[in-house]
Amino acid sequence: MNRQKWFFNTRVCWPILVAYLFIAFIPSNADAFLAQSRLSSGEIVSERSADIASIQSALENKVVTQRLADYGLTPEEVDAKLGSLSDEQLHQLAGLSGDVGGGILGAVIAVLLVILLVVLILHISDKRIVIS
Amino acid sequence: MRLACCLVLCFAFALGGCATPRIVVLSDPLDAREHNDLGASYEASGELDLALGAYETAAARDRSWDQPLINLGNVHAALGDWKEAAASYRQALKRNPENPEAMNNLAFAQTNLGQERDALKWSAQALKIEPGNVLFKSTRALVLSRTGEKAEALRLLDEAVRDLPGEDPLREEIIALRHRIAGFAP
Repeated sequence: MNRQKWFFNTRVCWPILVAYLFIAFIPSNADAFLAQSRLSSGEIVSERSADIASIQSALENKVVTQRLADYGLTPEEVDAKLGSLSDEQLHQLAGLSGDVGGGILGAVIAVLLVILLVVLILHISDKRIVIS
Repeated sequence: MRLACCLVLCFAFALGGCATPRIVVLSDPLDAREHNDLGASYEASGELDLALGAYETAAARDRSWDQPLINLGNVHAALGDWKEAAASYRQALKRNPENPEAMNNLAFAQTNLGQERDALKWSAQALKIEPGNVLFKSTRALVLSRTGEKAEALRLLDEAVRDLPGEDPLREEIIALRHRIAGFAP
């Protein structure tokens, strides 16, 4: 009986009610009213959910084929390599292919190397660049 | 002496050249539309970092196309980065000022950023272009409820519920929002 009285005590009930009031103001779903992403064909992604895996696989295949060719593999070697890759490996390779080549850091290092070479050659040949 | 130095250096460079990494020129086999579709497939499978990269590339490759920027904004929104999401939608509107989906999503992002005045403007424009769009009505109602115009918000939500089929998942969200605005329930 005492326990029931404690439960209905206004000192306990009011803080709970006030806390509940604030929680009620928090929106339930943050992005429910956003227009969904669309494919290039204009269809909403969820409309093509059945085909989305095959679209991804085909495009990743294209990316990996090009990367392997960039690294000097012949078409036959590319075919052989692609044939030995699982879908998961293909996905990983396609995901990583954007990062290869060093990106901005690689470009900066290449430019610095070229500048260093030019300066060194000018220095050795005892020539100077004069900006007037 | 100078000639000898040059020869030694050339020899050193030649030897060093053997050890330095080969320079590989990478080419992109995908066009803007394919990058967008790849991004959409990553977004659908929940790989949002990859989706961001693919949409950014698509947007950079075709600077007149607005859809990759809307998709990019949606990924930022899914990551909870409303500031970046709003920036992407704004960029999309620069490319196509008449895109109502970009307007609606920008209004939604601005509501989350507490910029209700701008959100009112964009949600009104989206609804003006497509007056029957249930999604746009819902966003407009959300914005109106934040600015204290409850009656108009409830009217729009009632219209939206009436227009939607019973099995549409958006229906529940709209009903939940209606309850929140009316102050009945959670």
